[in-house]
Amino acid sequence: MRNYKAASLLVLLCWLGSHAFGQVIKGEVLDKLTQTPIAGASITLPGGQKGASSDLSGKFTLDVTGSGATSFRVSSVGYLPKSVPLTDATFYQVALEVTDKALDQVVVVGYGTQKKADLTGAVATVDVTKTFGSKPINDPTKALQGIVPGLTIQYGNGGLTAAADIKIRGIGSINGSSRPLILVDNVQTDDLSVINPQDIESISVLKDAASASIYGARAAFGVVLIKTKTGRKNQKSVIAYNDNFSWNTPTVMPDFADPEFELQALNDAAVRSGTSSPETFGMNMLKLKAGVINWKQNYKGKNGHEMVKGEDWNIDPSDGRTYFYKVWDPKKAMLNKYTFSQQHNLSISGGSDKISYYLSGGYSYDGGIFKMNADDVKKYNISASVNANVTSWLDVNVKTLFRNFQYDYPYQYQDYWYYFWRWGSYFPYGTYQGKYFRVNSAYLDAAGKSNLSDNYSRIDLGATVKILKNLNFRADYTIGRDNLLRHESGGPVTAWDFWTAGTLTLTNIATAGQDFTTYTTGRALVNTFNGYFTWQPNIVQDHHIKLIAGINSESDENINFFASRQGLLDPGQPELGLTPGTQTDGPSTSGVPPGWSTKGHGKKAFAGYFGRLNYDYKDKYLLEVNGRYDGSNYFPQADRWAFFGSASAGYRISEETFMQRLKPALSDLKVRASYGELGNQDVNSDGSNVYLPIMNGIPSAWVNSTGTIAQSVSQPGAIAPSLKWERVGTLDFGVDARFLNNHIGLSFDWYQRDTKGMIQNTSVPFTFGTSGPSINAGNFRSRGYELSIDANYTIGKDIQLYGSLGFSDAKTVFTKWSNPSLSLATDQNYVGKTYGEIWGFVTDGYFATDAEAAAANQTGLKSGNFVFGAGDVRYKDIGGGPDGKPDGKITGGSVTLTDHGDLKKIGNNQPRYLYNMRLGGSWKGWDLDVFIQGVGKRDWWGTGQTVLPLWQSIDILYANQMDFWTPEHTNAKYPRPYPGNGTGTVAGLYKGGNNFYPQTKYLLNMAYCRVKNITLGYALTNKMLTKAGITKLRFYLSGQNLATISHVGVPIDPEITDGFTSSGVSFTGRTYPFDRSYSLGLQLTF
Amino acid sequence: MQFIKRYLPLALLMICLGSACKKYIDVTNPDTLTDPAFWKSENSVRTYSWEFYNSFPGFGNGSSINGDFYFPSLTDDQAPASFTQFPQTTPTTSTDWTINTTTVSSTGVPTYYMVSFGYIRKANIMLERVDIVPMADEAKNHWKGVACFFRAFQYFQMVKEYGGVPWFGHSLAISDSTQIYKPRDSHQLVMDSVLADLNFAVANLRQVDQTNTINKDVALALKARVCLYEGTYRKYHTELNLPDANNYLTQAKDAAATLMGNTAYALDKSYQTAYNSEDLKPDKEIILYKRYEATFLQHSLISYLYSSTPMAGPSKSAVESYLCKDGLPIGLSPLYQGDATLSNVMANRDARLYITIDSTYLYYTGHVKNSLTSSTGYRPIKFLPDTSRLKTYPSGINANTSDAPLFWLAEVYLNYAEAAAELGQITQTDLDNTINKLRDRAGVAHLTLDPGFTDPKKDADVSSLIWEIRRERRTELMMDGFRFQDIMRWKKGDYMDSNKNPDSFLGAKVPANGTVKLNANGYITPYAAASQRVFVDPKNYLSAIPTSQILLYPAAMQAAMQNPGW
Repeated sequence: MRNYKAASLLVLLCWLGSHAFGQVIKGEVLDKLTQTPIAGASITLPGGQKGASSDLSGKFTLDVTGSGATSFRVSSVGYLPKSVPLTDATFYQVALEVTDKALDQVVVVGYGTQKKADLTGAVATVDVTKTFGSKPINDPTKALQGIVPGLTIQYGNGGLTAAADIKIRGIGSINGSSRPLILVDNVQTDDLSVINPQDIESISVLKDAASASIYGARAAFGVVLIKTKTGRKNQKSVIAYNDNFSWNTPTVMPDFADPEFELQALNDAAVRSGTSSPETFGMNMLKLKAGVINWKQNYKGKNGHEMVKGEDWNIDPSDGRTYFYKVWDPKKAMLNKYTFSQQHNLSISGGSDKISYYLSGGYSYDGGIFKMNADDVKKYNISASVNANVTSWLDVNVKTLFRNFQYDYPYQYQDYWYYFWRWGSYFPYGTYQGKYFRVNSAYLDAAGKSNLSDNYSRIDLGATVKILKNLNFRADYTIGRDNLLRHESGGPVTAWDFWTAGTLTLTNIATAGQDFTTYTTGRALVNTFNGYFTWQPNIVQDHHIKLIAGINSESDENINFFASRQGLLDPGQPELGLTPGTQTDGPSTSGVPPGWSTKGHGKKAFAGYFGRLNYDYKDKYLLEVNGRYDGSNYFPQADRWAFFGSASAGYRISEETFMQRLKPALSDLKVRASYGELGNQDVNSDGSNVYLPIMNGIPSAWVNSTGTIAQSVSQPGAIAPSLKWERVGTLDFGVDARFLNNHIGLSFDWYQRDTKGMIQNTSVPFTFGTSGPSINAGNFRSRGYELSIDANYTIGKDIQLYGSLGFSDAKTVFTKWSNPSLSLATDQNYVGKTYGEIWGFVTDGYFATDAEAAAANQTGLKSGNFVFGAGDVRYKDIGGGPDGKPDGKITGGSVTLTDHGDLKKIGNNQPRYLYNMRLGGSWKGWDLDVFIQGVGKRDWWGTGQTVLPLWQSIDILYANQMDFWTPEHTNAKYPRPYPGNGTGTVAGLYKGGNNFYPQTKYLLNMAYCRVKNITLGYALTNKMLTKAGITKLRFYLSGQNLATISHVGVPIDPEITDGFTSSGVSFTGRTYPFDRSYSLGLQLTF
Repeated sequence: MQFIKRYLPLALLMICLGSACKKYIDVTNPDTLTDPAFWKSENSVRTYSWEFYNSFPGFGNGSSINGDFYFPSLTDDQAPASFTQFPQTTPTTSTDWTINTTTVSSTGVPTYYMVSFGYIRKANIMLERVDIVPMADEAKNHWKGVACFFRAFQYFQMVKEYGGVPWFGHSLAISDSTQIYKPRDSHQLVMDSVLADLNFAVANLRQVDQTNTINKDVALALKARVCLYEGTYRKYHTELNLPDANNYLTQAKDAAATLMGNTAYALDKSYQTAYNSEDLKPDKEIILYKRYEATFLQHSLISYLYSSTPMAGPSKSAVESYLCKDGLPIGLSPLYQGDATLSNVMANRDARLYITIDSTYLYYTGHVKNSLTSSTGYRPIKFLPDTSRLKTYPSGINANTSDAPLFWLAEVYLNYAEAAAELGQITQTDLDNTINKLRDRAGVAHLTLDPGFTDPKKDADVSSLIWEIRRERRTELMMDGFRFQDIMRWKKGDYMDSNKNPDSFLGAKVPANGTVKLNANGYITPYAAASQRVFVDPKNYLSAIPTSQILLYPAAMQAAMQNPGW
């Protein structure tokens, strides 16, 4: 626009004579690819002197009389603008190209938008259509996994309600969650599942401090900005419907072993540990083995779910114990092979020249995997938005959003996954006289439905006031409300109790405490207000300025409580009024929103004044300065306000005259740099406040004169007066380049993020009288880079190809930390430590003989009755002596940096070298999209029986764990079995002992390369459809997690890091499996 | 004009919102109390103070909180159900120590170290905050007195267990590293400070704040207890060369005398009332008690004494320490009938014995009634309600509601008598006003200034009179949690050494039944012959400081942190 004044003058002079006055031109604006009309495109003459816009059928009329123009310009949001020369013709067909990834793309940034070409910060955008379309995914977070380099999203398990760990550029602080600030329509929304993926219009990821600092102290680790769809003016009404039906099956799970051989191995292991006559639940293992063999010979395949006494099981006459012989396929008995999901979405949008609207509704269903009482999630989304031009200077809009989330799940008498994997396949999965035995199945079968219902609603009112031609004021106010209600009830479980000797009795196996019902309720209220001026003064000699200044405030209130009573009158009607027993404490997990306490009443308030100046000279030299004066009630009164500033600059070399001849090859080249500092207030994962001397209410152990417990308060915690916010400074250098007429784009960022003054709890003697206060003790520094490359080629009218590649890596090293003893314990840090490092031994094969083991001098590592002998792990002697030389002894030294015996850094549990790749294209009606995602390096010290055989006791050996050392089979995966390896003698390491100290051989390799999604679609183009008013009909097939390359070392999915946790030990893998999904769906647009 | 109409309100709105921002975030969490905003009124102070009362375990619940009574089993009075040795090795960690929770170590000795410093900081903060609370000076002084009382109480517990520990007269800031890492103060300095705190408490506490709370009399009772301890400790632990033993004994005697002169208190008719009453409020003997009420606070003591859990039975040594009715020890009294049977043992004895143990039956392996067993055969019944109610008494953890005495007149009498005797100032009147009142209640002949006999079992180190006063204390306060520290202050750790005092590891004489373990003379031996409890002097006079704590100090200080022998 800025050069048009001069240009139009020139044009006017040159072309004055060649055009008739009084001409009216007509035309039609089309999408180049789909050849469908574009409504609302603006048609302007140079200098902005006259204009028109296309109507619903893409048609326009423009009077060029007296303009002297030689061309006109057609532009529309989402398309590349096009300049069309005026000829003698009176009808022009203008086909616009979609601007995807192009420089003119408008990127949503903090409180505004910016042209991609003018960006000076590290901002990535998400291709919403490719990311959310055609996938059986109802939570946007899931679809975002692996899409944006630098944005890592990890799920520890594949459950229906698994929570994501979201980070931008890796770990940001050892305290808190290091989560980015996630904003949906400028309102903080930590749980993205409240929005329907189909309602998302754009996503920007602000990675560096310069882009994020306008959001203040909650944005220390970046910002994810999500805008939801609104209607567009002058748009034909569009009704769109899409659906998806998906069938999901676990990617990988361990197999159960044949008990005939498993029982022998368990027996031998138990004998080795000193048990003379090994048994499980009173069943002598060898007797049981004989029974299993007998069953296999005589009764295999004979009986069904109902177990026949004397055949499938029996009571041993000698000791009265119950024996179970039948070999089951537990996965078949307990799990569905496929689970089912479906989604339906309907939206209506359109607009006149004054009003536009967007309405949508969605429904999704996901079924769980257990056969009995499977859990399921149902989600209903409704959103509506209306924008209106009220006057020439006032636009208003209203947006509402409602989400109902229903999670039905069986009451957890016990952790069903833990117990599913705990015992071998000879355990009784069937019934006797129609009743289950005292195993997992009995509990799961009897479990009543528990329910979590969460209603989230939000209303956003906004207005834009055009104060002057160049000055706007935008205000929006949002009220969000989350109401959550959880209902859980237990009740009796009637089953055959074989656990104790004596007669087998049909009895209630649930505990008295499980005879209860409870309601937990939580309500959260969020008020958000944003008001800001945008001023874009007239251009003065190529100096472009844009100023934004405003305020932002948010107040949150949250109340959670529960009621719980024991003594169900009728377990079928588990209501408080029908449960007249004692009131009890509620469940520990009441599912409150993140950051809130499980019980109680909390308030938060934030406010900030922010401003941003954008300046550029000739679109070549770019500068941006941001500032925010930010306040948070989280901090003590005196320290509630702080200023955070940042600056970024860019230089578009390609705009220099000397670069012009390279233009065809190098369409665009920009270098940029930014630095900014932000405070971090997310320093405590449980949401409690480390800055305040809190006094907790506590009941005393004293009955006062009223005859009741005297309620007291604890002494205040110790707070160091010097305690301040953690400060996070990010330095970022970036290059953006586009090659070959914009067909190929490249973006690279290198950054260094310093987290300073990380909060550490001081260690003081007990004489201090309370826990040592927190101080700003430590610093660490992350360095990383992100690379993304994209390519787009349109070959003729019918063929379009695209591809993209993303790569990122980051490493975090402690630069300051107080750890005088230099302890290497997992909960300790030291200067020079790489975050996530794992210390352990180097595995040096197995001992061939007992004598060899005795000579190896590693007896200090044994615990319990264990004695290192033939078939046990030999740890390598790599240190411990003077100058760190081998000392002929295997020890962990004092587990310090200066004395770590034979320990070394064997791995790191942080994901490294994250990459993604997308390839796709379309040919006529067909389209194909392949998305591959992976992690190049990640180690994990998994614990528990699923990943390390006989970790706990002689519970089970899986099929893969039968590959253990015997004198005849020395080249085995696992050492000679021995039960009980959970605790070692080297304190501070990750858990493990005897043969299973953290060590190189059994470190899990969580690197993977995964075909996350393949979608094949076909869009029908048919005159019949057009006549029926259907503009688009597309069918597609889509697969998730279709293929995976990984070498975890054990049969669990490479993304699983969770597992049932008890007493600080996680049973890695004993959790919901990840799924592979096959889905089909259709998209229909009227 | 149009411009102003449109934009003036907008500008005003922005200014308002802008200035409101500062206030906007001036929000506190409704469910959080913070210091110093909490300190609003006298009631705030009272609320804050209740947690201090957790310092009194009372009857305890036997699992998470062992009580003052019956549970402390490391004495010569009781043989725990399983063999209990003095700690042998220095504990490294202190995982079972939690701030502000009264826990008791497995030996029955409270591990006060960390717990106490928590209370001490709490008391110091209270002393520092009381002045900002709007209330009368009298009230301020009273609450400072409460804080001083509990600070003294905690230091007293700690000195008993660890000797001299760092004394903190104010709460510490993290920047105050010289204080945080200061070396241990001397036993003398800490106990002198304890006495100063108690004197302040006695001088400033109210006569009554609320029913059954810390008051002047409770402070006097504690002062008598503390001063007797310190006086005798200084006198007998000569290796420490501590001065002022007599001053402490005098203060003990004076404090006890003040209470004895208070007509509000009087000895109850029954020895057992203090131990098995549902409500101790009407009992004039009681100065402070721990109240138990159904659904609010319950203990397990009776459940432990009326369940199949094997009981820590009184030892042969304990049973034999009771006098015969004639005031003579069993070794001298013609009334003593020997110990061939239980009824022989019980004949003509101090009536307190009948109240303390079951005189009708011996309970041991192979000789069980109502599924009750005791390690020694003698069954403790002192804390049980009367037998008619016993049948329906609730069993199980935390099911009992009888009140526990914390300070009561009998102990004050004993403190007085012992202090006066140790001072060499005791008179017959003193004995008649103290010991002989207890003996009247127990049906035992009076003690005279010259006892007129020498118990063959008497410790040669002490006079007959002191021996008899100590005996009186032992039998009156049997299983009440005093014995261990009494032995410690008298420097008589050998009493608990089973090699030197074999009777402490023996039970009743019973006929062999094939299952119960007996020694050659037919006495029950609760443990294997090899299990002997060895008392090491000076090591076992004080507990070890956990090494993890010592390691937090600069290396140069570490050696001096540990107690002798560890």
